[in-house]
Amino acid sequence: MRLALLFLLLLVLGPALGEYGLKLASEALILGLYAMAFNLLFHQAGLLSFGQAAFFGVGAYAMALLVSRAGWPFLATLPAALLASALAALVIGFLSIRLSRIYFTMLTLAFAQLLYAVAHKWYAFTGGDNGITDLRPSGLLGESLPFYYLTLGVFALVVGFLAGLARSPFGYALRGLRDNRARAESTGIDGFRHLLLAFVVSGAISGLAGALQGALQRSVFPDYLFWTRSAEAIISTILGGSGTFLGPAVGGAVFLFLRVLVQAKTEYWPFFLGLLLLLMVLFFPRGLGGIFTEAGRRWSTGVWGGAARG
Amino acid sequence: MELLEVRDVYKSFQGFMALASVSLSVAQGSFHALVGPNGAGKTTLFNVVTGRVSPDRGQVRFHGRDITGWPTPRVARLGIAISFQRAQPFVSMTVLEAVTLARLGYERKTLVWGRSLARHREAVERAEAALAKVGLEAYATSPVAQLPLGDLKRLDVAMALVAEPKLLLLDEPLAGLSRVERRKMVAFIGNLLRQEGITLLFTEHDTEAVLALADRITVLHQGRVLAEGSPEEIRQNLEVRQAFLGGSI
Repeated sequence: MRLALLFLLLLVLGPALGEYGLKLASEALILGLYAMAFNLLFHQAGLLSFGQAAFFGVGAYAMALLVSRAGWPFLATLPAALLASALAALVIGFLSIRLSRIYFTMLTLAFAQLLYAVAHKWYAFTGGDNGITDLRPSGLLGESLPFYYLTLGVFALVVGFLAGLARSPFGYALRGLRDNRARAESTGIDGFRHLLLAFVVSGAISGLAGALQGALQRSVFPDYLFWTRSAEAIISTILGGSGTFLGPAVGGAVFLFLRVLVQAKTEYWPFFLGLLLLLMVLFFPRGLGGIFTEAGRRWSTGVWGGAARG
Repeated sequence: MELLEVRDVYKSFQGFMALASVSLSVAQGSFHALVGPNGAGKTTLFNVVTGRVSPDRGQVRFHGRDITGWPTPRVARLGIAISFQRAQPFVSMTVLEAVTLARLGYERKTLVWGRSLARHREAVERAEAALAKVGLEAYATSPVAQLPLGDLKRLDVAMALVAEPKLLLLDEPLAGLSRVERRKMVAFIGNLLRQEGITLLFTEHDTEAVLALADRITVLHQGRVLAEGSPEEIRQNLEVRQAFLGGSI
């Protein structure tokens, strides 16, 4: 219900946003998709992937190559991007999920950097560091407002899907594996298979986000695959709070708006970001989502001077 | 008829002989105790049976079928359930959710996401029934994280029972419980499993409880089987040994 209200708000807000506002809002939704895909692994399955950029980038490049080389219409490339990044996740996940914790994290990072190096050097195929440019979607989707609505639509679909997944036996099985893997496996749940499937789903959504981002920017560069892109998913999740369903998406939006705000005034954005993360981790480890949940709880139980009870 | 047979199993960890030539037969419907001091190999033997550890040599047979080296989830779905010594069921869930998940894991229905867990009515009903059997039905909606230790153990047993196992492994079901709770737990386990016709293989340090519950006892010491027999035989055997060896076990 509250989710539906949020989407309604984002829907009617569209025309009120200017050209720049629409771009920023679209980018926030895309980063939200990407961060929530990361958090499916991080929060539900208990896997810290430091290689989400691999799937973000594969999705973006799949879209870009199909549009620029094969002349596909942009919309048709979205399922292809989804599939390509799912396939990449299947391979990378198959090789890394057997490893435990820190080794898993390092291996996902290594695979993403490997793909980055390939995209960076393979001029004939990916255009190297010149990237692939001139990717404006043809027709209506080349306009900011329809593109924003497309992004919002995809975001709503994915959020609905992830909400359903969290309540499904599969979502519970992931939590069971995170809570106590030995216990879960001795009830008949095959850990490797479940985690691999979660990894593939997360990769596919990341790839979808990457394809949308490429179309929004009208270009795709190797930095889509760079490790800082993986870090963006983690930072958004820390800011927004991994324990709250929409937390990572909220964190992503806050991250973007802060970056725009700070970058307009100073060149010290990384410094502010570092400081902000430090404060969040030290004082609000459950992120913005945790703050809101706590505030809501206190409000309804009247811990704040009984104001709510009147 | 033998339900579980362990034949001549060896397992060493980096030179340490955890199990050496261990053989064990658990008859259908019996309550079989595995006793011995810490480090005797009881937990390793459990791990070999449930597939968490592959033996270096030897065989595990269940219903006459060789299951040596099978992965844990597959062993579980065959009808071998386990409740752990340190019961730490799924702490992020409610009691009913944890047991329902255990049922769906057994049914291999956890790779689906079309329908929410709560709407798998049949599994939920079975979970409710399992909770009723262990006396936790009133706590169905409580978070697992808030249960006291005794209830956690009951919950862990319910998660094992919900899969309708033929063989139940209990690793020190009484560890950490008070004297009163222990007595209740022994009566509870005995009655419940006899009623359900479930075969039991368990480890326990509490001699009184072992003698009260077990039909048959295997004594492990330093990875080897020291003695096997009925409780009465073992008692005499141990007394004889203690008389000669001065109570080394």
